[in-house]
Amino acid sequence: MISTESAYHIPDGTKNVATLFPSISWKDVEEYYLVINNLEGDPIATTCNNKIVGGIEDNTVRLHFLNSLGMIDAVNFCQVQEDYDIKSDNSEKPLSYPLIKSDGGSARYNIRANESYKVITTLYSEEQMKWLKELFSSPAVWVEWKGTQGQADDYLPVVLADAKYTTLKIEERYTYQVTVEYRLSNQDITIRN
Amino acid sequence: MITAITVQPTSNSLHAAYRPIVFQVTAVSLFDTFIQPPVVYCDIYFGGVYYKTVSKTIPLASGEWQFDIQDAAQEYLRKYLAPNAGTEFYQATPAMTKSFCRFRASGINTNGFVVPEGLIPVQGTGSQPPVNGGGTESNSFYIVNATLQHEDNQNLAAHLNTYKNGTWSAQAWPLTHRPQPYPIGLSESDYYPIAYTGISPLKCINVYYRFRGQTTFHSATKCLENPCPIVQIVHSEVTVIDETAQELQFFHQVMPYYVTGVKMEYRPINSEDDFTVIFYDPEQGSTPGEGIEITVPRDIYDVYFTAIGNCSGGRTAHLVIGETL
Repeated sequence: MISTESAYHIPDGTKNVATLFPSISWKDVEEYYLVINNLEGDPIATTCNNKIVGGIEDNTVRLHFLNSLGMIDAVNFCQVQEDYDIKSDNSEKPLSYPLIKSDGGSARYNIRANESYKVITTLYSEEQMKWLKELFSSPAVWVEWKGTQGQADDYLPVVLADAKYTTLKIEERYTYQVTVEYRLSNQDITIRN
Repeated sequence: MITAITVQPTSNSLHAAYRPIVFQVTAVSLFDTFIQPPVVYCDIYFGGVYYKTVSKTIPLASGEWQFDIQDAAQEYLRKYLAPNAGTEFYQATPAMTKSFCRFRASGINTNGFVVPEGLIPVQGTGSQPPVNGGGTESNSFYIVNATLQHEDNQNLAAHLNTYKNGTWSAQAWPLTHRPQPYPIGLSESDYYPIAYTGISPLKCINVYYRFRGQTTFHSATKCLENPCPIVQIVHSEVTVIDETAQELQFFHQVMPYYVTGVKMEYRPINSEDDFTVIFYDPEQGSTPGEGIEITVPRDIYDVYFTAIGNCSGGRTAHLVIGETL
């Protein structure tokens, strides 16, 4: 039989509920929460109170991560820096005779190129740092990706940089700026020949 | 033989895979009840299917045999990422499982060989499904692919209860420590993760929302389809009655409570006639020794089964069965 006893993901994001409830003007909504009922109409679960902040259009980066309870949470950041890191090795070869003008003696090989990002957030307070620690130590993180070239929206796997995060400040206790650095999990594929 | 299970998880309790999940049993040798067995086996079952065995050759000082199945649970459980912007209840099957253990003792026979007790289970391979074995069965309980920190309440359900806000069933828990309020942007995907041990499927989403500048909440409701299960024929049999007639017999899996009937349709395989349709009680079709029987002329038949009830999109299992003249 189909077993209902399981872990579930309840569609809870603005993009999810906008499809489920298209008649609601979501751009005017400030906060919302969901209550889930079973087949008999009994309430089963109530989600967090979701507060709508600046959207994905204004340079927001949303990192989804595997939390300590084995499921997925997400944190919103603002992207402040993007770098393109390239590493390669060099090789030398003799030139041919007669000389071919376009032929080079020194060449580059084993080129490894990837994007890395620095993002910040000020949306979370000191008491929420305990939850954010789950992002910092998560083994699996994805960045929400808006589909291009006709592809559906999806997630791209990323790798968080090892770092020491300040989770308790002595001064300015109520203004928290958390900075996270990450790179894409799949580096660019380069042509070898 | 196993004489008692002295320590085990409470029935239907919730456990974290990254914390100890401990059993203790007492056992005596198969051939001499006054001596301890050479080996005691703990066969671990996930989702009702045999996964692996852990064994011990030395008991505790108390004489009890202790097993911790957290390693097997960590091996078995996985993460699950629901699709971006999905609009269904996504069952994160890899992240939570129902589990129990079966314990078997052993003895040393007259040739000096260790003889395990009972029916030995067989592990699944790439081409063969696992085969369940025998033994003394523990309580059934749930394991979540979760961890608990040192300072957390080590009872997972009690820990998760402290993160409940609003109305919750006693059979559901949040699988997140996310804060209130939870910031989210417009046009962003998100899921609220829960563990649920009830038998009634999740059905409706009630959204309570407040517009900017207002203080009152409005609400709306959307009910999703809960699919009917696929009828899985676990046993079928053909009995030839005489030269012209045969009896076809079927058993299928036990249906959930919201399936109130099963529709069976059949016709000879190359026929273009209408299907013959019969409806029956799902309990009858899943009761060993009863099942569904039809007497039909000898031929090969296309047979379809569809579960019907308080569910939708009933899917059909197809079977080709029968004997020709």
